[in-house]
Amino acid sequence: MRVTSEAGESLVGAPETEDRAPDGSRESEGALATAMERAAGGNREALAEIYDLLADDLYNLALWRCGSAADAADAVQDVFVELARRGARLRSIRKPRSYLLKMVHRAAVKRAKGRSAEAPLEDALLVPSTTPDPRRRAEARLCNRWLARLPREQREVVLLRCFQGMTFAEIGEVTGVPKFTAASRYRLGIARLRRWMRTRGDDR
Amino acid sequence: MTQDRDREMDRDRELFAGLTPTGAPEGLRRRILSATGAVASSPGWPDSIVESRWFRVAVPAAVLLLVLLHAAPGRSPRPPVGERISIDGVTLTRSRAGRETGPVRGTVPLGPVDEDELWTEI
Repeated sequence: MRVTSEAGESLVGAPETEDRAPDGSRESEGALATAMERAAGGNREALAEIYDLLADDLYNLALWRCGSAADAADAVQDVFVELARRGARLRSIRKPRSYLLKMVHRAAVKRAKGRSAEAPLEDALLVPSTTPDPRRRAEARLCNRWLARLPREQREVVLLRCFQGMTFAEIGEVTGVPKFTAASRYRLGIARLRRWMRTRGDDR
Repeated sequence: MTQDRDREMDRDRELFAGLTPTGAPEGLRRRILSATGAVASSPGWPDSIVESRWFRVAVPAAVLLLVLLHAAPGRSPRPPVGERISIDGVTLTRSRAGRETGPVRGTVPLGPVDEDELWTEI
């Protein structure tokens, strides 16, 4: 894939084949449900399985919401500690992935509460997906700078849509807003990113 | 409709071509599993109370104690109100208040009849 402007002009990046399939995470839905069932039965190793299946998705959502790696790690830990506490009550969960993302969203919102909405990102959200070379690192820095300028609500929707392949209804469920609001946030966020890419971020 | 949506998605994803979200850092797994292990070994309320050794010993002990006290001699069963007893020609009647009263002044305490005390009282 290449990064292009709306007119098809290449802005950053070179052909790339290692991007994750948009709904690759769905393949693990069955395994996740099984692990949750085992966690509900008090199996401690099941929490490790849940972590292995979903850690990146949970952490990324927390990071894109908080903008701080330390807060994101704390938010994910909060979720797993809560899972350990809930025990048998986990059996009633019908959509484990959505449930866990919702939990981490709430934890991240809580963690980010004290921070200003305009606070700069402390940590990178995106990294080059292949062997890092100086050009890719520069592109990643540029992209992170643009993402940092997006409101948190728009940023997290862009992540869930573009990198986790979720529908707006699912995003709405996770972020606690109607699907139309989720779609609106996404379109606003993407439109801004396109504009900044076209102008190299010169206008707001 | 679906194809349009897919095309739009592909176009949006191209904005981030060659880039990927950072993912969970090294060390977070161990940290989290350590934290959850601590939680699992110390369950929260009410499980922590119910599963504690103190609870499992104290509650049966308290129940047993109550049963023993209830069955203790002199406590139960109590004679019915109005029951009359006669001691050395003096008739006493058990009042509602649980005391034994007689035609003579004074009352005698209820409970296990202490002959000496009763005698003294009358």
